[in-house]
Amino acid sequence: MSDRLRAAILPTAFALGVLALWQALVMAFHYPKVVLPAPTDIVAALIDNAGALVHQAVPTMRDTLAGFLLATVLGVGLASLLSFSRLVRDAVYPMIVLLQLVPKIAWTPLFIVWAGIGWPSRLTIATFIAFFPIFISMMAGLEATDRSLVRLSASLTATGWRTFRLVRFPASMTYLFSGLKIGATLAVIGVIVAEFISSSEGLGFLILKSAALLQTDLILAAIAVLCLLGVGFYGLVHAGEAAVRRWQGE
Amino acid sequence: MIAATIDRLAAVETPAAGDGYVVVDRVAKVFNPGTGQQVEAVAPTSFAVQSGEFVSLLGPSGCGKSTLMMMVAGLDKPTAGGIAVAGKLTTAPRAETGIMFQDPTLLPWKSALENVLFPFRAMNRPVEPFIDKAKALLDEVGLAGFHHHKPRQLSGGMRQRVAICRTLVYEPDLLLMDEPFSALDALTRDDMNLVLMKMWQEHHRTAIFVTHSIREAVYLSDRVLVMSQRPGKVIADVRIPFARPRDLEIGETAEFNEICGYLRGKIQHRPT
Repeated sequence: MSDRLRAAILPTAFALGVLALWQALVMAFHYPKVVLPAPTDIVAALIDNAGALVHQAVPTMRDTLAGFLLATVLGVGLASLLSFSRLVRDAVYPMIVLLQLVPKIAWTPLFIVWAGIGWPSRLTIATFIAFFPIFISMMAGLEATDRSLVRLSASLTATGWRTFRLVRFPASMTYLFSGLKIGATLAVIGVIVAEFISSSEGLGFLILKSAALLQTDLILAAIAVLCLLGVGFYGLVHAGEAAVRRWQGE
Repeated sequence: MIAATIDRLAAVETPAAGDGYVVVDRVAKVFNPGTGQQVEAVAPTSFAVQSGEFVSLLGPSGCGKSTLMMMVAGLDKPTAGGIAVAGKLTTAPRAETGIMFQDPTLLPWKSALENVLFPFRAMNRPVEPFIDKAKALLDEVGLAGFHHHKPRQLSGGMRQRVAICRTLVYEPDLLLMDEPFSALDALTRDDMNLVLMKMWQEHHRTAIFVTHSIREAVYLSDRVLVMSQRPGKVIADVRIPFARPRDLEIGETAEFNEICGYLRGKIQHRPT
């Protein structure tokens, strides 16, 4: 068996095994559906509520994507800016590192007070939470750039900007993408939490509403959709990384 | 005969500055002055390199020869003294100086050809007029067929050849080489010395070559400047009499080994 095939089959078989065990346990011990629905119940809920699920997935996806993109622009932008001035970097960087130690979720109610209960607050939270890993990894990438490459560039009388564009920025890509992957996951968390707190749309809202109605199967169906969304999102970042690598010729 | 050679060598060993394409005048370098980590890397030292000359700076590890080279390159500033290149005081890197570092310092995400063209991008000059030239240089150093390979697909020696091409492509009038082959194995190193010799003869430039290999210095140079242990300064200036072009076989001659022995004695000499 080829390694690729093995890498695909092994985890799939294990996951299917877990689902089968789950199904068997529910059927054998007759758990009430409201406590633990069987996988078949969740699939049925997915089909029955397909319209509602898709409808609610749209705003969640939209806010996540927008927040992630905004966080990328801000994170990469600020890290690049700081890399140009030692003085500004030394002044600003410690505060951002300190800020990122605070659980970001704790800020959510404050953002709702400031930005209202509509999409702007959800976008703000997604951006805020995704910003830190992106900023910090970009910063790390810029600072980890091979010093001899920077020195070579300086010896060729390149300006600071050209050295940035030709050497330091492309050299940071590996670091940046590891931050982007974390940021993508965190952006989803931010949006869901915001939807929990105050929203009349989104998968987070649907989960909370279903919980109030004890529709456990629908909660799990919404989580399954979220799972798909997360995978798709991660895949998007991964595809971006592959594209950059190809462009960099690796 | 041996005694005569030693006398001849001794006659020219007095370090002198004077005129030259590169003039190093009483240059000293102290790192972290006034702190607990103060290190005197280079003691006040003077020498000159004439236009078209190939001069090696030879000295033990940590003697400050690389530091001296970085100051000639304008990448580091002397604590005292001054350096002039082509009649101008050096305060910053100049576009007409080409530098080779200990490692090839290639952009890992760019092809060999793109790396050779990098100087033009760094200087914000158009690349297109030089593509044919860059390809010709790569062919010259034996890298035909590897133009589009990435650095990680090349061997250590091949990478350093790319670096040689990158240094020559924009025709600098001064070449500074900081132990460019020290990371390579002995056979590859001999090979690289031949490549460098050939390229230097074809693209005749003033060159300063930093090394701690006595044989390499003697094989490549018109003159070898011997540096003392840290704080480094030039303690001997030895002219190498072999005619060019030189092949590796001169390394087997008595005179070659005699000069190497003489230089070895100079390096081991510890001033009181």
